[in-house]
Amino acid sequence: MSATWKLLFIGEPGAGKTTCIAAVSDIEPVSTDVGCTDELAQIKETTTVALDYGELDLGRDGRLLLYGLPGQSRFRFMFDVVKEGLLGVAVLVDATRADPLRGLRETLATYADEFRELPCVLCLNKQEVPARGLLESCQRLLGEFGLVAPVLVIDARRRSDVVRIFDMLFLLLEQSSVRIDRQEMVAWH
Amino acid sequence: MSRPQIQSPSLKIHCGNLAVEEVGALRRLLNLLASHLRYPWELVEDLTTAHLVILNVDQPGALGTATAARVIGCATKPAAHPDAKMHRPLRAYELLAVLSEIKPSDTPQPQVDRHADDWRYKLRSWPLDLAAYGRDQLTIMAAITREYRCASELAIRTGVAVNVVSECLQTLSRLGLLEGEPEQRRLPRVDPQELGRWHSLASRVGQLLGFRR
Repeated sequence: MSATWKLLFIGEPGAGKTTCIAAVSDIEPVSTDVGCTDELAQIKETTTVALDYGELDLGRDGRLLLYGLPGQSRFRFMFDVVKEGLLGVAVLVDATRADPLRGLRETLATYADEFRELPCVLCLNKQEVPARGLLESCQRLLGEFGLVAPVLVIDARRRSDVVRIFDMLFLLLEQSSVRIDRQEMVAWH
Repeated sequence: MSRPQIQSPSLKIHCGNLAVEEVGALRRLLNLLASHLRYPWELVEDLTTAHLVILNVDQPGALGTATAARVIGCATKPAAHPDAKMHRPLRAYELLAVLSEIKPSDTPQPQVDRHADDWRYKLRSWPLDLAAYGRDQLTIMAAITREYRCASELAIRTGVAVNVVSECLQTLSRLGLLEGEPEQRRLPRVDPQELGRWHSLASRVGQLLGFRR
């Protein structure tokens, strides 16, 4: 038997979920990308229609499964699939979008109850120095949903920035009294 | 024989929650006022070294409950705001008046608050400028992100010296980032089993990805 733990990257299309998982996964990330046919095609060639999946082999400590889920409310059912053994959540925001808070608001409105029970970080991606106003707006939005979480400015293409997300999530996990049921699974290998 | 030059200590100013353009304006005003100021000045990122913190109190919750003398609030309508001493945008004459009252040596060194264990604290929100905080401070913030904890409990839980914990709590309090509640218990509750629960997993992931534990 091997313990499996999970981390979730969640956010609107193009926020950087696939890139984050690919940066650290031991396996070739499993992705459900398809070509964009709607207005998203102006931003990126492909988008994830279901979920991204990667994993880290922790040796005797088991495996850390990495999931990327879309943040829109219509995909809410997918969260229920991954929530068992979930250690923390990184909410990703594309800071370069015309209205970066729109997708974030929908994600928080859909998942705030779950996020309040877990280590959670908000990651502003794709802009090295986001406007202070955007940082403040994100912080305010978190507050509106009763969430207290650090806001990290990242470039998901840089592995070191993705590692910072893990560092912060595990710091929150270690220092909180969060109770997470350990998931036992038969090892796949 | 020439007199030895005595280097005046500089007045360290932290801009708290001021917007980037407001910090730029402050810098320009200070440059203009330089010849009228009693002490050289510098803007600092590190709150713990600051002699003066300037806060935008128009922002809800900016000042918090436990304010210190060295925190100066500014607001668009200071007359209507009890915590504001200056206008926002900042005005040169008000800045000069405020800075004339403060000298670097006036600033009390952070001390261990003897009554810290009478209160438990929880973060209202994380500071935005995370780079201004060291590992110990981030660890303390992580420990009060979801739960109320008193200083000694935090010291035991985080392994950070109690005076560093108190300094950090004071800093967060000055920035209005803390909420507090009276401590009801006589002794801090720290369950050793709970402390170690995630440590080995975090260490293992840190070892694989390259972050320190």
